[in-house]
Amino acid sequence: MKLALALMLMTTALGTGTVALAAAQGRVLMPDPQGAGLLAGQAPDSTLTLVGDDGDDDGAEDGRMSSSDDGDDGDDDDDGEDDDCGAEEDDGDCASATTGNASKAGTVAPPRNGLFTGGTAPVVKSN
Amino acid sequence: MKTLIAALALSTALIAPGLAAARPVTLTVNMADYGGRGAYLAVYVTDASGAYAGSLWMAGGKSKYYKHLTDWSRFTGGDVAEVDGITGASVGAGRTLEVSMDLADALFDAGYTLHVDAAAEDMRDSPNEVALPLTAAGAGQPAPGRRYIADVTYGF
Repeated sequence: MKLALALMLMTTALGTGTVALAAAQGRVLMPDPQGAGLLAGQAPDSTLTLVGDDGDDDGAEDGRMSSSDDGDDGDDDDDGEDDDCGAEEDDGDCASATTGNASKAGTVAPPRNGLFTGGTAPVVKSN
Repeated sequence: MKTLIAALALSTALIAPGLAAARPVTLTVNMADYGGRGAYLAVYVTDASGAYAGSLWMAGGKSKYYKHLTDWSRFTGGDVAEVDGITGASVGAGRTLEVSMDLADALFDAGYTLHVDAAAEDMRDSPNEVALPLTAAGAGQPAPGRRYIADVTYGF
């Protein structure tokens, strides 16, 4: 008898807890006619914000440079490597003869575009 | 003696215009702290009618990214021959690029404009980030950038 009573009490306690929990969860899903949800006091925000939008309507500036850009060299380049051709670079992706990259300054004369006088190569300094 | 003087006069006449037409110019690009990887920069010039006149510098070695230097790419069709011999490494955030070159004197006070396109990985392309008229009076005056570049200055 005692065992049956204990079981009944336990079942009742568990059932009541479950109902209470379900009711609490249901409140979130139920529409609130007064416009006050669980976080009463906070006005609903009707403004849709695009993730990553800086609010700058640049129009033409939609493109993004990505390491997964497909180049004419067929390199997927998604290995997180440096996307540059530095002086110490021995990456085949940087060899101008094989990839169609431009020759680095100092290796060939600058283009004869009429801007440079005497064919002198620009000297660069970067810190 | 007469032959010597004639030869001297001739060589002077040939060399002098060339010297007068050259102007040593230093271009300084101060990058902003945009919080990304090294930026690709295309530095080029348009004439008074807005037509492409030529490139002065390309920062960034892999040509597959040049399409993101949108205006430069539109003008040149992405032709790497335009930047052969005037290409170097990309420029990191907060760093400074300084390029010294001998430019044609005729570029100044003649309606030419210096442009810089910029792009950085996983960030927006920024065509024509800086447009700076090439004038003698404009030397030493910084022109502000919009996204990746803090400012650009040229000096004599």
